[in-house]
Amino acid sequence: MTALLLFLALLFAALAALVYVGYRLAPKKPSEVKERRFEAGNPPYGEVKRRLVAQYVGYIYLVTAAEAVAGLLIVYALLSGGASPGLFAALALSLAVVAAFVAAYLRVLGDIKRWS
Amino acid sequence: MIVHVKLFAVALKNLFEKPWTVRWPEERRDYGPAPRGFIVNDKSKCISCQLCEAVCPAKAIKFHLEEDGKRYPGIDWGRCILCGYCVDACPTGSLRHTAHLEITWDSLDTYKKPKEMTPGSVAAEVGDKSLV
Amino acid sequence: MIVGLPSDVLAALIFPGIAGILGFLVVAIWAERKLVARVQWRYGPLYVSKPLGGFLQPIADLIKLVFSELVLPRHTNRLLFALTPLLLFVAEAVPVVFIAVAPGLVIFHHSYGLALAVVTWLLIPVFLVGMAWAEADKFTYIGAVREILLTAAYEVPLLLSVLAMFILYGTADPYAVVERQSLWGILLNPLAFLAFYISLAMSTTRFPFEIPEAEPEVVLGPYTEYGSTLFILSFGANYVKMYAGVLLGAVLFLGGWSPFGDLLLGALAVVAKTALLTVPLLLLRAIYPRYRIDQALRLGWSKLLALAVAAVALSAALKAAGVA
Repeated sequence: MTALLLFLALLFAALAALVYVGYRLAPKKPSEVKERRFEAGNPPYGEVKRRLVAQYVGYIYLVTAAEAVAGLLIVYALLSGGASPGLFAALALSLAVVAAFVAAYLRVLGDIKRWS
Repeated sequence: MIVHVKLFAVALKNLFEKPWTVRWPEERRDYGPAPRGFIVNDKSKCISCQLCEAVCPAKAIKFHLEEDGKRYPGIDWGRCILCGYCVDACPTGSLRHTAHLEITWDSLDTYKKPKEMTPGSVAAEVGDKSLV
Repeated sequence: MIVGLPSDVLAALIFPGIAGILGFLVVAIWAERKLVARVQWRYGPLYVSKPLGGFLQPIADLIKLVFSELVLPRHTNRLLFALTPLLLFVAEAVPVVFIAVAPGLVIFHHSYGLALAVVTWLLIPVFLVGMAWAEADKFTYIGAVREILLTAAYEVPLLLSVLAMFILYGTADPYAVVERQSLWGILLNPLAFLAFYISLAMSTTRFPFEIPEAEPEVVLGPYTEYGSTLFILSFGANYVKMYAGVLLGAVLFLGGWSPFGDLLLGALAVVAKTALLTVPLLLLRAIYPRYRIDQALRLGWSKLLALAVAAVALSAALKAAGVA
């Protein structure tokens, strides 16, 4: 535990010291152009808000579910020591369900006209 | 699938080949004895016909009044693209290319006046000897 | 025990700790530029320290960036603007604490250490999105959205390939995983290694998956507004993620510190294996073009998922047949 805290604290302190040393050593000549938003050469206009483009949100729904399944499988595998009939049955069932679902709906997920 | 292995194989083969780039100025490429380099004007042959100014595609040549009452061309090297149209257009052959290719300047004033463009004002470094 | 320190403090300070991270940053940045240049038939950085092959070029870049003006823009929360790259860098170094590189040389030993390493690995995009949000810029916003989508593509294959190895070894303890590799993991289950490696390339935004930081499309993506030392922190954090990932790969798939048994030689063996895993990741920049985000998503969910599921099936078959 002490090594972990030492590592994190020392890393954070070293990086903060780097930023602080940079701040002290560097010239400070603030100007309006430097401190405004970067807009690839144009003066910035409008707010930074954009409509969230939700064309691929189907993948995000899918990963939320599939990642939970994979996480639970990892927990089951580690708790059962890697080999038990229950584990193999759970693996086969859940991965088959996920694979079938993805195979059936992969084309729908990529069809952005349905999601936009 | 096999195409990925082929891609990696090509990359590994390239990794061990000699680079093509030239580490200028320690190494230089040899462009031969007559490349199209810095343009000089022989004032004794120039007749001030202004054909070079008319044909220049980058509008780099402008004429100046010199001390002997005649006008001679000067070249703006921020604009010149070394295309050689002016040299081809010159009827007397007073405008010529030299072999001087390392055309540099150390300020934003890139204009070479007629007296800086005489044939003896540049020395060309032909060949691939190092410049350092 | 060298120098009389306990071995986990030694791990925290030298390898895989702070000196390892900083050393990897310097060497990996130089190696990437040099390798990519040589593949493209040019020389790479050769101006700074010519006898060393330009090795000190990243140090020269560091010194130049330290002396650059630190610009904190007006339109955003300046404290968060300066703080989020630090948090990102530290967050990307957290998976390293659970990985053991020699008998005794681990910063925080936990019997489910490698599973914790994977979990903290998957939490890194949260910090990246927080950093991109704090920059309050249109390009960083697009880069953050692309990063989220790319995470949605590689997360499940990564988890499944790690699951395949956990089934084979039966444990996630950082020492036991190496001791149970009588045959290296890559030879036992090459499908899992391939799925893991491609997921690693997607995760650290290597070409062909350099989608969040695509320079012609979003000007450096989530790192756009940073300059000076904050740029070192945010952009260098990408390399720290690669460091954590290849350490995990070396321990899971390449046998860790075997065939040596003691601290120093084992650590050197892990260094060699890390370098072996890093070089193809760096060479990817010179080989592949860039995918579009929908192509990367489709790849992650069709071929990569199939590969990972096949890897899990292979592991289950091997375990049921009594191998390893």
